[in-house]
Amino acid sequence: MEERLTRLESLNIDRETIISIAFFAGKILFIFGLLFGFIAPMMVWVERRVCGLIQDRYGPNRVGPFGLLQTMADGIKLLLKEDLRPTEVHPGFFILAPILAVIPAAMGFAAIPFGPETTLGGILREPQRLQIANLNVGFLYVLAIGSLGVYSVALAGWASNNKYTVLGALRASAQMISYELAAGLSIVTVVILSGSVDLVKIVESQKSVWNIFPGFLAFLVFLPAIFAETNRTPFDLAESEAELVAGFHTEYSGMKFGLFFLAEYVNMATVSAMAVLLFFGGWELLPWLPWAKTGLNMDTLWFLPTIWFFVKLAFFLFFFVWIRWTVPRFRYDQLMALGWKTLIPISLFNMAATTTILVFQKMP
Amino acid sequence: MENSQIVFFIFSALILVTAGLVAFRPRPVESAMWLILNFFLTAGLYVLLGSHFVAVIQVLVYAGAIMVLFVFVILLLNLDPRELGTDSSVSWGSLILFVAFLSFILLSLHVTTPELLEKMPPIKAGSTFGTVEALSKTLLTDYIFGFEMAGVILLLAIMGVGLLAYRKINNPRIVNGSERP
Amino acid sequence: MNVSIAHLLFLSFGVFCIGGAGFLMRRNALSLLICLELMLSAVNIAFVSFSRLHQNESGNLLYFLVITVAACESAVGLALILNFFRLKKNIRLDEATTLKG
Repeated sequence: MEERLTRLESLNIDRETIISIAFFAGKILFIFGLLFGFIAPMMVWVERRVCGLIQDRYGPNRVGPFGLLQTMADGIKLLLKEDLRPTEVHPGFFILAPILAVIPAAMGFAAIPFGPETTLGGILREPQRLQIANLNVGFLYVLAIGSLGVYSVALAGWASNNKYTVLGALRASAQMISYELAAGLSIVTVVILSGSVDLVKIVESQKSVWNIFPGFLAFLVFLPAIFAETNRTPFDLAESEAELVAGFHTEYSGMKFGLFFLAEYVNMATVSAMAVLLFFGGWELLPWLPWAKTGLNMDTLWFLPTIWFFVKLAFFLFFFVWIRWTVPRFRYDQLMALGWKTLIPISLFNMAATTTILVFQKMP
Repeated sequence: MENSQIVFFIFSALILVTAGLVAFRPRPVESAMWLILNFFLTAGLYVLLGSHFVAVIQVLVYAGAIMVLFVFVILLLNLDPRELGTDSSVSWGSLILFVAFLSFILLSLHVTTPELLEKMPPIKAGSTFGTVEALSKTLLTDYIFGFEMAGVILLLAIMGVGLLAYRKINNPRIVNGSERP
Repeated sequence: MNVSIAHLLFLSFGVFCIGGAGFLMRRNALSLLICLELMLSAVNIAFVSFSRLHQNESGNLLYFLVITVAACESAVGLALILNFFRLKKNIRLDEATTLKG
């Protein structure tokens, strides 16, 4: 290693450049490895085990210890299945839809920071952000990429050329545009509270008090909105098995179906990360106790905030599963009424109220 | 040629090609999908131009909201080719005249003002151009009237659409869209 | 970026002409609206380019006004198309020959 470094130095590439490139590549590998290699497979297992727990039965426990290898077995099954394509589908869009589901899901996490600015215990010369892409538009990027997920659902439903899938796609697209609005408005309240659109700065502004306390109403709107955005129960009207025979992915099988599944779990991770960053103090330890006040040497223990961030994220992922197996599905008109008549007025009112209070506080 | 120029030419070529596909693919679904790709490439161009916020809004509003509405209506109608009608191809002459006229205007501009062909000055270091802060400051100070008018236009559009979509429902059993038991 | 404003204006012009050609030649209402969006997007390219040329936010703000109008136009237009479809069971604009609903 040392020898190679000196050889590279002779090529007029100094060590700093190599380290910064390695740091950048490491961040990308870490995030994508974690999302696609750990969180998504683990969530498939967790979902079924928690389901078993809640319904008072075992869940998968045959493959590997505690059934941990079940996901791998499922993956192999999906890959080896025959790649069915019904005769009446639109061939191009039928293949494009699952791809369009995975790409935005993978892109969304790129702008999410997962730790404070750090030198990695002195390896880097200057503190750097633990974030793949540092964009000055911050959370808007995550929101923009998240809004593209609807195309995969719409295209899958349309290309399958089946009444049930078209109905599922119609429901999903109407639902996703409606709840995007509520989610966006509640995030605006957080931005007003924190005074920045940059996610790292939003977390830094929560050192003394987490946004969940002044922005509780915003969180109440944000939570159902993210459930609806990711098409999870109680808002999984797009794929309600009983009425629509799994909705937009009725005609999909094999790995194409697997890709929809993968995208759903990665999207869940992204919105959970957003919830943690915006309302629950990101990587800060406790509402009244940030890492800086613990007395620990954060230069050497730089990885603790990151681990804590992912612990919070894991709690939210568990919360998603918990809700799924506890709350029954909404009826479609109830869903639209909740979105347009309750959540959006509440978030608009909340935004106006927060602004007014902040203006009066800042008055001399 | 520099890197940024090469990237610009690649983006421009792709924008033009996808624009052509948008305009001339027979089925509206295909047009809409190419238009989404076109908007993405345009957002990329805006990033090259340094207007990051505009680029994100391009994806969020154009690709993420307006085009979803289009795709939604296309799904809702679920048309077969018979219901789309055939496209006319007779207006080539007028089209060429139109393009020639606009090209003439652009070319005359070139002749009269040669500084148009100079390279754009680079963005000054430390400039806030294209950030959310700079844009919102301008929006809420110099252009506050335009901003308010945009709100009024949106409100009018909502009212108009509501009026267009309104239908009297004669069945007294149906209240709020769901049937009374 | 190392290009002149003329390059950007030609790009905007090209996209606008393609959109205009589509607008003139298509006969179904949906494609017409889509081509209109393309033309508005071409105008936006010109606005943002001028904003970059003068390093002034005014062009970017005009972009916002254009996008507002585009959103309103597509919402109203699509509502009209839906009503037209309810009436005629197709969206061929050749058949839009009566004035009253």
